[in-house]
Amino acid sequence: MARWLVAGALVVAALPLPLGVMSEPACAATPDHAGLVVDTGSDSSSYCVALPASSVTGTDLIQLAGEQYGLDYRLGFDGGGVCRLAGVGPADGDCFGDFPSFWGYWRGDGSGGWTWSNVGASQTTVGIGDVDGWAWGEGTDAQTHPRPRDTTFEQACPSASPTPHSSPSRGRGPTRSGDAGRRPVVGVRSEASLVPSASSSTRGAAGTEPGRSDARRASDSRSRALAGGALARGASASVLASSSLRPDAGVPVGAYASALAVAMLLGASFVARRRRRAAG
Amino acid sequence: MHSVAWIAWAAAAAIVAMSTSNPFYLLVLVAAAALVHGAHRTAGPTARSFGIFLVGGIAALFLRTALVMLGTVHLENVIAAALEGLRLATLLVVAGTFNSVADPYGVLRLAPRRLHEPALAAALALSIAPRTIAAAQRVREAQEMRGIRIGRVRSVPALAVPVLETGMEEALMLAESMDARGHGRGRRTRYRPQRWNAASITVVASACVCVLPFLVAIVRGWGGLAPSTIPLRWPTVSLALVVAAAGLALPGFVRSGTAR
Repeated sequence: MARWLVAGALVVAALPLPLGVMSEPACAATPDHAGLVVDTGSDSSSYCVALPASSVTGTDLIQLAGEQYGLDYRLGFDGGGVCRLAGVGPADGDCFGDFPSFWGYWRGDGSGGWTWSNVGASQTTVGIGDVDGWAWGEGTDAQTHPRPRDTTFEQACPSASPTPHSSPSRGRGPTRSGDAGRRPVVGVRSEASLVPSASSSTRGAAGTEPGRSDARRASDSRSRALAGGALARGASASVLASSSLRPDAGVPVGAYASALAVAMLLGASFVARRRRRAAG
Repeated sequence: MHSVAWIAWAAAAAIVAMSTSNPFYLLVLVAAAALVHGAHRTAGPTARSFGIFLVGGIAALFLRTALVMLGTVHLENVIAAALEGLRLATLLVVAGTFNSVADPYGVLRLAPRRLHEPALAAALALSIAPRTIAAAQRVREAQEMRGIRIGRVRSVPALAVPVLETGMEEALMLAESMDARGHGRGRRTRYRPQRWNAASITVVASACVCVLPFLVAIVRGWGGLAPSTIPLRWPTVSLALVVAAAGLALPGFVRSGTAR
């Protein structure tokens, strides 16, 4: 019930967004935006996402990027996990499908670096000027999991217009970030068509057409993103929104107290039962 | 023990059970309910409802967990489902304890005169499980004396038909007797009014005190009431809430007294 209410509220909250994006190509200034960096291992994309409220959850940020830029995503575990981003990861909702690799969740530390998130994206708060990062790879902690490209909020939202930027990570692939930076900002719609090219290896063919219609982009982006994911990764890959698989070590004192209380109460009830039986 | 005392205890325990899916609070609550049942169960066959509700609770726990197997199975999913099932089982155990310690007719007599008829329906509905259990036990014994062993599928009618018949007869008898005593006509007198004694007051007070920390925790959002399962985390356990849940066992340590 609560889930439907939340979903309904999200839909209602998201309804004005596409309209606003289409009617105002040069979006408002950056103060009400947050950055989202998606690093598939071969490509890194950053999105300057307009926030409908002063703060949203990390999951909301991904959904907003999907609405505003056509970012291909898939959530799993009742919305608690992120299975698939930018065409990488399984599309069937099984976020653990290919476990050693998953989407690691990083929070921007305010100076371009990253901090490993200890909670899932549905439980975090993303405010204006924050940056969230997602990196595909193996490793279940901050030491072993790959980090996204270092990105400050100013780099994610360089101008007044929310613009997705594409850039290669780890030195692979041709440079694109300079290309995107030199382009004049002509509005969200034309720039948004860069998104599929960021995750797809068929760059250039689709990405440089400024006049593509929104409807066509929306219908195409998913299939092309799927193709891109398949080309980049192979057929199946799995992603996990949570940053940690195992509970933290160390049993708190409350748990011992709880176990002790259970044992004492059960013992007392046994005694009470025997006393009653003896009495009558 | 005054019936209001048991209503207060059951309400407090139900609020606690519904507020959390943390096993460290729920298991303490189950143990507390077991102690209350052990110390106060009534002499009649309704006392058996604790055991039957406990079995039903365990079945619910396993059924809820088994439902996960229909979809994608992972440790996180299974533990989340098991914790939900544990909460349901705890609620059932609390209900079973209430059935086994409280006299359903005593509870009924508490209703204000104007609300008597809906209260009668509610009390009959509440007491239908213990009355059916008692009837089934009697029929079983009677059939065994006749040489009919209940336990095979073929002998189910031999158990079910008399049980349903007895339930019908009991309901009619109860309705006739209540009518004869003037129930629902506004000229009912109080027969053997329940007395408030020290034990009853202790039970009510302890229930109110023990539920308070949980209410505060719900409002403030602390104490690890809903432990994170995605990602899987070791739950936070608040000592204060463990003590509060254990405090619901306090009725098990007081003598019920003779006044009922």
